[in-house]
Amino acid sequence: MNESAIEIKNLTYKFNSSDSYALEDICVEIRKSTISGIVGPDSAGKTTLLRCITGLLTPQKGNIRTFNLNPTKQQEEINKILGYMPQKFGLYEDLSVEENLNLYFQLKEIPESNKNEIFEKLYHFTNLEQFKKRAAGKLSGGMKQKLGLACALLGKPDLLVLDEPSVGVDPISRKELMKMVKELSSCDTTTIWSTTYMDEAQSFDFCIVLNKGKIIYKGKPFNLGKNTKEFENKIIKIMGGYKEKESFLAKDFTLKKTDIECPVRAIGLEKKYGDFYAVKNNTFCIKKGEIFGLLGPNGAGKSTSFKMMCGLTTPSAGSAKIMNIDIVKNPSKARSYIGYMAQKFSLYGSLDVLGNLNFFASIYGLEGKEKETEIKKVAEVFELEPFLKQDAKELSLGFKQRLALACAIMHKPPVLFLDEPTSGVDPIARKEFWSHIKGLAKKGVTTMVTTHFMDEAEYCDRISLFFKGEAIATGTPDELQKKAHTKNMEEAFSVLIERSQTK
Amino acid sequence: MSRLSALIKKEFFQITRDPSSVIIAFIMPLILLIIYMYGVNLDTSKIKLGLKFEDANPELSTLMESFKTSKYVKTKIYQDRQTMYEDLTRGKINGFIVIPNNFIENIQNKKEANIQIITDGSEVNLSNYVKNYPLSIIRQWLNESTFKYKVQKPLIEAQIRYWYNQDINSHHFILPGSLAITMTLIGMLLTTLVIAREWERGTMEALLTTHITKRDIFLSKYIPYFALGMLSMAFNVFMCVVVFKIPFHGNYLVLFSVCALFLFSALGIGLLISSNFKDQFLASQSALSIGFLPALLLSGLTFPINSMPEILQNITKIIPTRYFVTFIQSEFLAGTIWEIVFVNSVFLIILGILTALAVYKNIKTRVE
Repeated sequence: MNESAIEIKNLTYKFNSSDSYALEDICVEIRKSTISGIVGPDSAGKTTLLRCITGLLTPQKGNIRTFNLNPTKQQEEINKILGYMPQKFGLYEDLSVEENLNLYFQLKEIPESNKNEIFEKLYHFTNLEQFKKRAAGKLSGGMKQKLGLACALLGKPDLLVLDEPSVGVDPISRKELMKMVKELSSCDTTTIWSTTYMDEAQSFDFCIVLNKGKIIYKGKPFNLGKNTKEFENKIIKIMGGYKEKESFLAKDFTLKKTDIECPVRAIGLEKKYGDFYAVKNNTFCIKKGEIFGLLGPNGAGKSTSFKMMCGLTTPSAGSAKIMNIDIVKNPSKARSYIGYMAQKFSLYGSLDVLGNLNFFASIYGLEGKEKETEIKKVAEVFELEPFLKQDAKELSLGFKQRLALACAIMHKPPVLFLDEPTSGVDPIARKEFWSHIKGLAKKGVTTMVTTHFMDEAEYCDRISLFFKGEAIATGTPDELQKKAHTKNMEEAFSVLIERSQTK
Repeated sequence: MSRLSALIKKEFFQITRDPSSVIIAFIMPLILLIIYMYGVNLDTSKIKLGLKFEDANPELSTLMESFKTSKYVKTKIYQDRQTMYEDLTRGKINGFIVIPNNFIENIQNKKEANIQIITDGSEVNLSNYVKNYPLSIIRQWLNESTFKYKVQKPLIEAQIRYWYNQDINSHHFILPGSLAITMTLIGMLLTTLVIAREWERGTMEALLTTHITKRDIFLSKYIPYFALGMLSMAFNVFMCVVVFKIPFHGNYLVLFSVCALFLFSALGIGLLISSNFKDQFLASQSALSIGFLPALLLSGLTFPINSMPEILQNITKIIPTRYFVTFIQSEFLAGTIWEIVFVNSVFLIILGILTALAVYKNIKTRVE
């Protein structure tokens, strides 16, 4: 057994602005030279825990020893052995890749003599050599993460702390990131990695599962489950379990009858920026009551397709039809059929929950009695009643997501567009969310959804796999897995992309 | 040292790549100067005046001529009072003068000769001119007319000279004063964003886990923006003196030395605001409302401090712009007066040190 790198006893942290504890009575020991994962949904306390370990936050109660140092009093000493990557990567967007690396190189006071060697190695692993002169702000999300990691790895830190380095990244980039950490840190490095992905937890030596500021599991992830599904089911069980039940929301949901077979259609949709194709010749048709998933790495063209479908961006060529109405020619009419939930939950943060519901009900054209009953109903279904007077920005991510969905469906749209609806929420909330979507689909609601959770792909009736602006494969999850000769979506995804690249 | 130079270099990269800093430092002052130069004018060179002669004496034609040739008034002769009243109401004229019947006769008889001057009281400044200009025109006419022997020489004759600004050109004191306002704006706007921005973009969190110290952050925020501010000042002075031809009687070394002291305190206020916010928008809004507006209204440039209520007068004492306005106006118009330089410098140094201490105390090395 290695000696311990981090010892935490009875750690409690509370934000001044909040009544509840961000972290409550945390006791854990992390061994040296291991990769440990801190797993949990958003606002579980992952970032707070990492910040306490590095000395960026001072806990109200409890004891922390980080490499036998006290983070509260010896922050400077800890910084000498620390490589830290914050959630927004900590990059200067106006500075070029090289300038960012240079800056952190100098701030960490690494001897100049090894500079060329170190930089060469980092460029090699990140594939950023060719983008050396490009401003960090103009890199793609995956490249930013690699650069952020490279900055954190400078100086071979004994302790590497990564705050959700893989959030929003496709499985291929995630694997690359993990590979980088393993190869670039020395074998003595202790790595702490926080994540919302259950499948990532699987590959760690040790994991701490957090929920609502408390540790619900600590130990070897393998002991909990041999694969992601098992692991996740165990976690759900520890969290209090989830019973499959019919969505109360869908129960009372009725749509106007239509004969339209394909409520959502894209015909040769294309978007070009200069000579760069963001989306190329995209044609598909979503049948009534179908859940259609758009999958693909960041920058593959999912969001652009999505935006063209709801008329937020004008396509360079082709057209999109919602309930047989052309979105370019008659955008407001076409949009009235859509319930839209944006990636970042476009809610009004400083309006309270009831205010948000009222506002969205009104702009979707609900009035009087109908509006009141609808608001009452969604508030009940999504258990928003206790929070009606709370500002939307103070809600936890899971509840923000519920509120956003509630706002999107109050006017009973026949078509539902969901852009990354479940990133960052806990597994139970995700299951619940999908039960609503499934229920609505049964009632005939046509859904288009983007996601990068591979296991969620299996909730979809059909999937379109996006890569470099093109749909490289379309079909049911089973079909795609057969095509790739794999047993799960994640592998199928990697195989199909690699295959399209070698073509 | 290498940490600090790396940070300063970074700061300069950001300044040169972000067009907004260049706009704040050079374009905005230029626009303000142009507005102050051509838009704001406290002298009224020509007032519009109505004239009604009820006396038909031919001697009055010379008076009419005096009015017509005066470079201060533009006259319009009216035949009936009614249209004249209406024109005043409509704002077509700023005031009018009525020369009553037997005006000349009264002068010839050494009796009191009255004239009536009506001014538009809704524009107080202007009505003063409406009062003063015709009076001096009439007085001059009288002294040159055939009646000059009838006029009793006054016992006391006032000889008025406008020192330091002989042409009473208001630009000569407004523009230097506006330089102070511009520099306030630059000092505060440039810096209010820079700490808040680091928090907003998450870079501060990354910086805090490197070997960086509080002193590094502090100096890396002061030095680059101080340099940029001085550069902007040089540009502003150049515009004023060379392009707009505002006379400068002082000493450039003194001017820039005191400006350095002023920038030190203005940057301090900006950074103090910035270090208290983690949101750029809030920071810039508060910079405008707690930094810039008081500086504009209470610096003594727009409203004289002496005529403010006592409470406000006391508040002006903590506004660095006040000292800079006083200094820069006297430096431009009257030259270096060491007492003024010294007193204002002392206050600027005190304010600069106080804000710097507060900034240093407010820079957080932790996330909370």
